[in-house]
Amino acid sequence: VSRPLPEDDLIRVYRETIKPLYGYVSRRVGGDLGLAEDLVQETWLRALDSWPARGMPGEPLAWLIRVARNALVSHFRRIRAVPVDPATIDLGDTRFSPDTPDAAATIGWGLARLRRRHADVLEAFYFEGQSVSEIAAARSLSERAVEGRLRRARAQLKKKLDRIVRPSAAAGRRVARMGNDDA
Amino acid sequence: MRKAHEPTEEFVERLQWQVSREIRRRNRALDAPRGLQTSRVRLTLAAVALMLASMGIGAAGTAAAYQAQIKERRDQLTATFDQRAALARQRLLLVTSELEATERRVAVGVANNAEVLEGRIKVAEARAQVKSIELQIEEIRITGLEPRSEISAPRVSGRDFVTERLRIEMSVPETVAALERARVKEAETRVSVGVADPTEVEAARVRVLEVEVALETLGK
Repeated sequence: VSRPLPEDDLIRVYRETIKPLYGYVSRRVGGDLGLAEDLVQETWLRALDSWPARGMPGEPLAWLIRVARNALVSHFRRIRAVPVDPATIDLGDTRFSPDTPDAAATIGWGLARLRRRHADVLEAFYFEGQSVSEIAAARSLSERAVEGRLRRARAQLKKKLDRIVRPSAAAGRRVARMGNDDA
Repeated sequence: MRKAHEPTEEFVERLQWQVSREIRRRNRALDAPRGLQTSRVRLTLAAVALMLASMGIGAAGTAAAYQAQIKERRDQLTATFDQRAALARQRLLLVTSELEATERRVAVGVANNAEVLEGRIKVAEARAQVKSIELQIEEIRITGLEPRSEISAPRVSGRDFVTERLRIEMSVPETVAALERARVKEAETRVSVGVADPTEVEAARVRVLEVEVALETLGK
């Protein structure tokens, strides 16, 4: 049964969560303003659909971030893969950070096609800028386990991205077709 | 200046306005349906009650009309068949008195036995007709319909009126057969004393045979 939500409470939650939520989304789209705003708006509309019926969650930000992540995955699974210059993506370099819209789109495209446990550690590493020890602490894992998981996750991501990280135009066209097949 | 990955003030205000407007709209929609839902439930219940009442009244009316129709038809048929029964009874009284008169004439020797036999046949026919009509009236009182005469007609309240009437009607040829047999004996007596021609006996026997064949056919 749907119940009316007090507007004041909702606006208070909105004010408290909008910045962290936006930041979460924005980092994953490389600061693409329009895309980040669309995804944040979509997330809040989903909240307005769900909360009157189920009630406001105890941790609204966690709920919003989970929904935003699903929206991001849906977005990256839907979009067409664009061929990427290998010079812009170097997964082997620990200093690499997908901080441009193109790089974030490429990494996001690949992460959306990985298993959740692999995507999770890579997101924390690339988009949240967390160190191995921070990732391990947040997930109650040993640093060694996190390093192993990061290594395997990078290998999986590289395998996915190998299909689009090609310099030639012909390869790019072929990869674009493959990307469409995946989507 | 806006920091990286921070929303613009314009976006934050715009989305807040959208969220406020949307939540107000949804809250209004939730409030309105509550009243509407109650009234909808009431309306639905009222409609269902009205429908059931209408159906009940309609069914009762139809049943009453049907019952009245059946009663009217029953009364009309009963009246008709009562008249027929009264006529049949009068006829029975008439033929019975005629038979008694014939018997008296035979006793004083001014009439012969053949006339008595004819009279007895008429009485048997009239009695059978009275009984048959009485049975038809019984059937009408139960069904409210015209009495049926087909062999395939269904039983009415466990009674087979068709067979009962056939048995009554069969009693007439049986009486005729008995009387024809008596006529043969009488003819034989008259032939034995030489007051009648033997052909008269043969003719009587042929009539007996004819009646018996007719009876056998009816029995089948």
